Amino acid sequence: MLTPAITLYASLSRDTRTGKALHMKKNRVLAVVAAVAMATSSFVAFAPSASAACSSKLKIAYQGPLTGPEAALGINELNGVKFALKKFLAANKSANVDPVVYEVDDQGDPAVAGPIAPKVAAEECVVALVGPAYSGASRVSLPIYEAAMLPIITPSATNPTLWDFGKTVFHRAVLTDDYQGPALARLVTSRVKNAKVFLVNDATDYSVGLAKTVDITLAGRLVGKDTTPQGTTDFTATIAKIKKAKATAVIYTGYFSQASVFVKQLRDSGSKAVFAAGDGVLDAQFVKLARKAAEGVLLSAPAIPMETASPKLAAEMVKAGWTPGVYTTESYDAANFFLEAIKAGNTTRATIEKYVSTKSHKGLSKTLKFDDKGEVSGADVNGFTIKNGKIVLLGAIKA
Amino acid sequence: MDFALLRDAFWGLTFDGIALGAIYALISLGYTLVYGVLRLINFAHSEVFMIGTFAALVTASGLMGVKVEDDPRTGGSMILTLIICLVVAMLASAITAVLVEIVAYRRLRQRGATKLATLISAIGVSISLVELFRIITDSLPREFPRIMEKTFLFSYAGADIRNDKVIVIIAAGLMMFALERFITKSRCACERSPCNASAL
Repeated sequence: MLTPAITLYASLSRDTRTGKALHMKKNRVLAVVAAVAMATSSFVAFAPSASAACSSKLKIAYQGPLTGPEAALGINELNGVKFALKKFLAANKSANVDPVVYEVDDQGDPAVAGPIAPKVAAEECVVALVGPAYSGASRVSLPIYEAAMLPIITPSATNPTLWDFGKTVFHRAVLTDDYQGPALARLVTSRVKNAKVFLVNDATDYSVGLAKTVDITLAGRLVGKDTTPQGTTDFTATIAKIKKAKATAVIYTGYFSQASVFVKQLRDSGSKAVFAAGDGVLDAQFVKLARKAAEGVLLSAPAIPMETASPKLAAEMVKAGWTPGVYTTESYDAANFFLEAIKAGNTTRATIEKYVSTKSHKGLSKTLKFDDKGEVSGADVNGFTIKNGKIVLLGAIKA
Repeated sequence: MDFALLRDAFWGLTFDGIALGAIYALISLGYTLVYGVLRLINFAHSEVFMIGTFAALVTASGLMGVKVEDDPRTGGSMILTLIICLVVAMLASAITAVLVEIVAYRRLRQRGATKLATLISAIGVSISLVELFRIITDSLPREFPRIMEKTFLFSYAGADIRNDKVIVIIAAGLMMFALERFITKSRCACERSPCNASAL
């Protein structure tokens, strides 16, 4: 649908007899009209036919934040997809798959994802998509991918309601927040005797949602709550409240870069309260950043770090120049499932979709076998701690 | 409102607030200085500080060999490291600020461009610098090796007074005083503009 708009613009902006460009001012007006036409056409009238044949190599797409403040997570995931593709092509040299991942940068922002998704859907050689990384961006992208029959496996969007937005193409390689919050609360109460918990969120959708389920499970053990918006560099006020409440444990539901600053300041203040957090903090970078302050921190995640899942592959990744982080393993698994489908002879979106929704794939993190709502079953929320500068798996958190 | 917290933590929070406020004051001084002279809100101001911080990081971990896993330094070695990092950071920030002016503002100003044009140029510089550093750092946070151990000096009315915060407050005071002297006494600062020192 973009092509007619461009042709329209090209024909309008030239004098039909002489072929010369029309007067600048008029030209500019037409450019605006054409731009608006293009923008609207990509919003409203996208109709990438699912059956359009791809004449060159098949592409695997990744969608997530690759620039902007959330980029660290997106790059973790993209690295997992790149690594899977590299290994696949090394083992299957004749495979008709593009060695370059089709990168879709939505900055984790629904407002950015909205206009981009139709373009991705219109790329006929993109036959499968790993992502979107974030729930908000997924919500706006999914209806478009569903209309274009583009199968997706998200490695990290954990909002429980996503299936409703792309029923026929949606798959998720992790458990939702409904599982993680209670598990995180149980992890803390099982390891800290008579825990008095102080709960801190960072005001993002993920953090508030997770904190809510933690809160419900903790019930009487909660002694205080606070919010430190993302980007906070000084946690003194919150730390004062923690000390005042005489909390023996702090649960923080934000991301690792902030958590490392928070836990350092907590230790600098002399507090010995146990620090616990969710999957947003489960990252080798957290240990690197917080160092001594990271020791003994408790973490929960429906995800598993590459270093724990397979130290050999993690080392191989680092050697290839990609640092594994949170959700790298899940992205690697998701990409491999799609690649397996292609290897089995599926070359269209529809057949790949059928393959991933009916077959199962034994991945590094878990066996991917999707139920009728695209969710993985039989997966666990794992508990982790940090010991001598390493993330150590404590095992599945028991109900 | 949590009055009990306010009562118990008042002096502690006040002290921490002053230390944090001293840092903000220093940064905002830069903003007002540029605005006072050029009548331009310098959107790339924070990036100048970012580059200064990275310069200090590279100096500390590279040139001075302070490793993140090391214990903080003490005595003369600590003071030397701090001073060298400070000087390098100031130089790096100054060079960046001058380059930004040459690349993004000077020609616009000379041609009498509208304020909006300069403003957009400033935003452009800001985005470019941030994205440049995102590429350089792979968008991963870097940790600063600890040069000086943070210790509690004394406790006053429930407030724990820590050495690093005392240094921040004193340093900020000294720098503000030095800047004020420079602007009122130096001809250089006044010649560039119709003596906008009063704007500060």
